[in-house]
Amino acid sequence: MALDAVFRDQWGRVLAALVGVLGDIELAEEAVAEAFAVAAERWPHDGEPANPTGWLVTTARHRAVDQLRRRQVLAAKTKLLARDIETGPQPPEPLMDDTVSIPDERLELVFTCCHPALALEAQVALTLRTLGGLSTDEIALAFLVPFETMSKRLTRAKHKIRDAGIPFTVPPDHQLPDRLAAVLSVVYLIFNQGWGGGRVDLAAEAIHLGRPLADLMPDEPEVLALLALMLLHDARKAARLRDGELVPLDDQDRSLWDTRQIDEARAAETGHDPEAHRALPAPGGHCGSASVPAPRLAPDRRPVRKACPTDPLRDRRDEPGHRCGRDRRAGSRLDRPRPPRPRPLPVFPLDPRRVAAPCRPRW
Amino acid sequence: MQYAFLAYTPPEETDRATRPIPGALADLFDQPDVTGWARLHAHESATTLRNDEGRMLLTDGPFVDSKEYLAGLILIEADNLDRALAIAEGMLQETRPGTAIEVRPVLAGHFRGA
Repeated sequence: MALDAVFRDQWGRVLAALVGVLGDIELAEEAVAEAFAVAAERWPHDGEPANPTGWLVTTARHRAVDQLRRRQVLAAKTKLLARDIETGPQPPEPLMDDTVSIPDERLELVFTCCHPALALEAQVALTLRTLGGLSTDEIALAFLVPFETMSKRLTRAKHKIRDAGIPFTVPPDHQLPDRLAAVLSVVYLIFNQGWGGGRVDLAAEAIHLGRPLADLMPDEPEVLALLALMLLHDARKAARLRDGELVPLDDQDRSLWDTRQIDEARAAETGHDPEAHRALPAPGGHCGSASVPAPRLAPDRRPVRKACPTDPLRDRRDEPGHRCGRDRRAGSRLDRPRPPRPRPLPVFPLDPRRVAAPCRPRW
Repeated sequence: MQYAFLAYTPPEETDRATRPIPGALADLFDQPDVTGWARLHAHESATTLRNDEGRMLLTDGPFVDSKEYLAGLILIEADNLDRALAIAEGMLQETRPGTAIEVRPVLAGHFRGA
């Protein structure tokens, strides 16, 4: 796998493992960045290790130990690290046991970054930075704020997590519904910010965030519903605009729809529940006479709407659920009641280039 | 970790000094995670001293003039912010409507008891 693909794939995972050990996002980021730099130097010559995640985590840990050693004041933390790994003279090459599996702590990290004690815009930026691996530059560009502003926002959030003792943990059951809704709101906001394209493909980033969430929480219907929703809308991206003009659903060239993504959405929607799968109507049943039959496109949005009351999709004109009809039973798996969570209205600058887009966020 | 709760309340009609701490709240103050607390006299009793480029300015009244005033300070010990917020929420339920608690991590401190 090319290194940039590994970076996309592994950044969040490796960073989460390091934050779990160090308890400090800034320090973890430095160490992980150094580990990727070492990988960029060595992998082209030595070949990719059998366990890239393990290699990166081990290398980053060694770098972190070096860093902590340099900071004499953090002697106590070095002791903490030394419990886990040898702190003797470093071998030139990190020793890796490929059989050791690194626990996936991305969930802990996402719940930390989307903690309600952080401002919503800080949650969004931090999630893109830590889980998505976007640079501060890219995040600033995506939200149309100066680099310095975004840099300060990220630094302040990271310091608050450290100083206020925001825990690196998945919330207990009684808090999970509220806290999960906060996480999903952040992912959905990122997706909506990316609607209609832009200099940074935030819709793809949101899907990139949604996939591991669905993998790690396969029993949470809201997570699966959100992933399905994002995949389905994104699948029609290529057909949505023609010469800068909005193309209504009926007139869209369906051969431009991303069928692989639609299949993935349907799999996420049905999960592994055979009952739910049977309840789905056959695809294309009600959808007119286009040359490509329209798959069923409307996941049940109610859970997502609860997670994010500012749902700008509500009155979208090409909403296929209105055209295709919907089997009421289909949503049953996604219908478990969740308490609504009031969220402040997010304040993001509007991208003037999106004026022609089908859905302008109303905030 | 140590956290400080800064409790803000709207001004009261009755004399604060004659009103005891509500029983349920007093019980919470006796819990082992509370390491210290101070209940303050009404904001009218405040005197503010300000360093204005070396000159000490004295004014009658609280530093911040607002709808709510600092009414008390509680120090607690908690593993993390979630636990501290849970303790604060328990206390807030025993207070008057309009009360707010600001939760701040303690950087350093020394409390000798009152």
